[in-house]
Amino acid sequence: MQQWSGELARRISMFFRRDRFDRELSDEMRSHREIRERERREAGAPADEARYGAQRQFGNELRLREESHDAWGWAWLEHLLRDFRFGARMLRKNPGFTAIAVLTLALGIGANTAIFSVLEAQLWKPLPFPDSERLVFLGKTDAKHPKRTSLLSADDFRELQAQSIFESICAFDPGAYRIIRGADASERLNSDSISSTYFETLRASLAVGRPFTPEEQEPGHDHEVILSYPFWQSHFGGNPKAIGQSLVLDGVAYTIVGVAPQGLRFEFFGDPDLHIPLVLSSKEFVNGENPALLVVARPRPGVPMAVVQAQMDVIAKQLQSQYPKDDGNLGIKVEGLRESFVGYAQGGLFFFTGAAGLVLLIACANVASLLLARGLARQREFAVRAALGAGRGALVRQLLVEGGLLGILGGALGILAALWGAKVFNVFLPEDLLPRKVPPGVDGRVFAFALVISLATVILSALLPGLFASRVDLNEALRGGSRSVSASPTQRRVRGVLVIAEVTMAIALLFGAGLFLNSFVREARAPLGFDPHNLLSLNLAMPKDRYSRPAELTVAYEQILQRVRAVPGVRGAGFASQIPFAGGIGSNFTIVGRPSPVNREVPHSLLRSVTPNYFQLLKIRFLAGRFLNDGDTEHAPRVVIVNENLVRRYFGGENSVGAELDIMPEVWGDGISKDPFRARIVGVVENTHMFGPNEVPFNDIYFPVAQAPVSSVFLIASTNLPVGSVLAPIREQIAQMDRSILISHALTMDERAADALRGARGNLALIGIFAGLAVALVAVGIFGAIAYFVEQRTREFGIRLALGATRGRILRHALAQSAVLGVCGLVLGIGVSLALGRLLRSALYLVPGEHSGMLYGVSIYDPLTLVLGCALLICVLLLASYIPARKAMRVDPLVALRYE
Amino acid sequence: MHRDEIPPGTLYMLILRTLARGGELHGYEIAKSIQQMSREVLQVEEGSLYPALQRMLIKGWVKAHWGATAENRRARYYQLTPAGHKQLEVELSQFDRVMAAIARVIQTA
Repeated sequence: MQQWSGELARRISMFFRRDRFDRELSDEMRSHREIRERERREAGAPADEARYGAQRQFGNELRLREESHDAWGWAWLEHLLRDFRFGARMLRKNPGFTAIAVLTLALGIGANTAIFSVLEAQLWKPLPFPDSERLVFLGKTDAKHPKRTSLLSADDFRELQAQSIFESICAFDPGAYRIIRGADASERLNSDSISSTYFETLRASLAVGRPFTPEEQEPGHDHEVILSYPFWQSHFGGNPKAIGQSLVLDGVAYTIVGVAPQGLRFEFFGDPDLHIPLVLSSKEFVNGENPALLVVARPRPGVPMAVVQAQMDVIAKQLQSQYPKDDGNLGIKVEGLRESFVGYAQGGLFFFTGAAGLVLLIACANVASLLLARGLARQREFAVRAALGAGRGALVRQLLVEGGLLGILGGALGILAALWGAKVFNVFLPEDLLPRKVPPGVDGRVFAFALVISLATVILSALLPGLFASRVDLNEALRGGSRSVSASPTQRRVRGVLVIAEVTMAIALLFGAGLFLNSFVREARAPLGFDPHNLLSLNLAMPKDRYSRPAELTVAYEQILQRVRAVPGVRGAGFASQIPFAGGIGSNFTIVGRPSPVNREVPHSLLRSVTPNYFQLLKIRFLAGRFLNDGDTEHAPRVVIVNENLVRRYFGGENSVGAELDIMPEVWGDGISKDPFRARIVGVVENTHMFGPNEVPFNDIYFPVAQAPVSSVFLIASTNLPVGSVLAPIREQIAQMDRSILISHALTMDERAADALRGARGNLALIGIFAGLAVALVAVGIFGAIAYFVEQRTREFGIRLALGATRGRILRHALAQSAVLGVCGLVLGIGVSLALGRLLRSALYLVPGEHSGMLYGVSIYDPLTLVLGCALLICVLLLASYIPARKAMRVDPLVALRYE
Repeated sequence: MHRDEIPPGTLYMLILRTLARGGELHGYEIAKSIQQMSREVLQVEEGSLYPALQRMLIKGWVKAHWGATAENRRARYYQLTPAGHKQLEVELSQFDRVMAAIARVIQTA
C-alpha cells in the first residue's frame, strides 16, 4: 500500500516537472554518448566514426526518450491537452461553423435544462423542513376508486395519534381567512388551523413564543394565535413583546402566543399570515360526512414505509368496524408527503420534458450533419496525420475532444439560456398553477443535469462523425487533384437518415402544437352555461361580529342591493355565495323517500346561496319548474333549485320538481356551520361550469339567500359601462353603508373566464415554442444540407449546363434528393404522431379524480390538425431548400469548370 | 567478437544486480559494468537502459541524484533502495526457477 502511494506521489510530482525532466534526460543521454564517443576516439577511431559508432551503440534517441517519457504514464493526458489546444484553434479558425454549432447545441441544452429546473422545483426538490423526506401524508382511500385520496376525520386522527409507529403527527386545515379591522380599513388575512403538534412534526422551532397546547384545541379555549414571520415583521415590527398582546379577528380577541420561524413554507398551499388552533370537535371534521383534515406524520426513524402502511391497513379495518357508515372498503394510505401532492402534475410536466427532448435530438442531428460535412473537408489533414503514425483511436479522440469543446461551449451558453428559459416558463405557467408555489431556479442538481446532457449531446453528435472522419483512405486523400473527397455511400445514407429523423420529430411537435391550439380555441369558445359578458363581480366579507344573525345579514343585503342598483350604469345586481370561476363548497344530501346511498354512492352536490335574480343576471336557462322569487323568505317553505346534472344522475331524467331533499350543509366558506334542513325542489336549470369547459360535471343546488344567508358573498352587478366607471361608485355606496365590510377580488366575469384559461394558454405557448424551435432547427439543417450539396456538385452542374441542361432541370435535380427525404420523414412523422397520441392519451385528457389533462374537445387523431401541420412544415422546407438551390441554377459553367 | 542480446525481461535484473554491488553509478557506468561483468558477452542497446531506469525510479527501486563525474561532467547517479534490494531477490529467485525448469526440459531429452 505504501509502495503504491509512493509511486502515485512520484508520478504526480513528475507531471509538474515534465519539461525539466525532458531536458535533463536528453542531457543525460547526450552525456552518455559523449563518453562512449571519447572512448572510441581514444581507441583510435577517427572523430566521425567514433560519433556515429557511439550513436549506433546507444540506439534511437527519439524513441528511447519517448519511451522514458511514456513510462511516467502521463502520455494520455498530454495528448488530451494537445488535442484541446488544437481543437480550440480549429474552432477559432472557423467562426461561422463554430457559432452555428454552439448556438444549436445551446438551444437544445438550454431548453432541456430549463424544463429540468421546473421538474426539480416542482417534483423532486425536498421540502424546506429538516429531514423532510421522512414526512408522510395520510389519506383515506376507497377500494372502488383506488387512485383517489380523500381527507381524514377527527376520529381517524385521534386513532392515529395514539399509534406509537409515528414519532410525531399533526393535522391542519388550510385556506381560510380572518378579517382584522384597522382604523379606517379592514384587512383580509389568510389563516390556517393547526394542531398543537404542527411545528414539532415539521421540526420547525418557533422564532418567538410557544406552539399551541392540546387544551387550546377545545372550543372556547381556542382564542390563541401564532403569527407568521412576515406578518410579525410588518404589523408588529418584529417586536418580541408582541407575545401576549391581543389581536381582534372577526370581532373576537385572540392572544398572540408565538411567531412561526422565518422561511417556514408549506409549499402546497399559499402562505398564511396567521395560525389558529385546530378545533377537532368542530363539525367539519366529523366522520362520514366530508371530513377535511390534512394529516402529516413523521414515522419513527428506520421504520420502512411498508411496515407503516401495513399498520395503517390494520387501523383502517378497526375504524371501519367502529364507524360502519359507508359501504365499500375504506383504507388509510401512507404516501411520502412530497409525492402525494405533486404526483398529479407529473404527466403534464413530463410531456413538456419529452417535447424538449425531441428538440434536443433535432439539434444533435443538425450538429452531427455539420460535423460529418466538416469531416469530409478535413480528410487531407487526417490523412497526413495517419501517414505520420496516428492510429484511428488518436484521430477519433481528437474529433471527440473537438466535439467536447463544442459541447462545453454549448453547455455553458445553454445554462445561461436555461436561466432565461425558466423565467419564460414561469411567465406562461406561473407557480400558482402548479402544485408547489415556488419558482424554478438553477441549483446544484440542475447544473449537474446540464453537464450530463452536454456530455450526451457530444456523444450523440460527435461520435458518429468522428468514426466516419477517422476512417481515412490514404490513397485517395493524399492524391491531390480533386478538390475534396466525396462522401461514401454509407455517409450519404447516414445524412439522409438524420434528415428523415429530424423531419419526423418536427412533425410530431407540430402536430402536438396543433392539437393544443385546436383544444384552446374550443375551450375558449365552449359555452359555459351562462353569459359572462357585462358582469362585474366583487367579494364582500361581512364582519361576523356585526352580522352574527341571519336576519341582520338579510337586511344588510337588501340595503346593499338597493344602493348598488341606484348607481348609474348598473342595470341589475344580486348576490351569490359562490360564483363560477371562484371555487365551490359542497356537501352531501339525501333524497327523501329514497334509500340511500343511490347508485352505491352518497349523493353530493355544490351548494349556492343566491338572490332570485341570479339566474337572470347570468342568463342561466331554466328547464323546468319556476324561478326563485321574493316570496321565498326565511319564513316561507324551504325551496331549492337544482341543475340538470343532479336530475339526470339521481332522478334518471324523470320529473324532479316537487321532490324533497335533506341537505347537510355543515360549513360554508365563512366557517359558520348550518344545521341540516329539508327543502323542496321547485325548478331545474341548465348546467354551468365552475372552472371551465374541461372539468368533471358536478351537481348544483341553489338556495334563496333569504333562507340561507352567508357572511361572505359575491356581489354581481350587470352593467354596460366600463368597469372603471361603476366600481368606484359601488365601493363608495357600500362603504357609506358600513365601512367595515371588506371588499375584494373585483373582477368582471369575462376577466375571470379568461383567467381560468391561463393554464391552457400557458400549455399552448410552451408547446408552440418547442414546435417553433424544432421547425427552425430543421429549416436551418435542410438549408445547410442543400447548400453543402450544391457546393459539392458545383463542378458537376457546370458540366451539365455546358452540355445543354436547362437551369430548371438543375434545380429539380438539386431538390430531388431532399424532396424524397422530406416525404419519407413526413410519412414517418405522421405515423409517429399517431402512435405517440395513442400512448399519451391517458395523460393528455381529463381523468376524474386523478388529473385534469391538457386537451379538450379535440380528438387525439384529429386529421385536420395533422394535415395543417404537415402542410406548414412542407412550406418551410420548400423555402429552406429553394434558396440554396437557386445557387445551383446560377452556376456559371465557365467559372465552375475552371477549377481543377 | 560476437555479442548475444540479453533475454527479454532480464534487463531490470541486471541493472539491479549491478547497483546492488554497492555505491552509485551513472548510466554509462552501469552499461560498462554489465558489459565487463559479462565478459563482453552480453550486448545491451545502451539507450534502453534509460527507459528501464525511469521505470525503476517510478517503482521506487532506485533513487537518483545529480552529481559530477571525474571529468566534471554533470551526470545522474543511481543507487539501489531497500525496495530495490527486495525486488532484486524476487527477480533472482524467479529467474532461478525459470532456468531450472528450462534445464529440466532440456535434460530429459
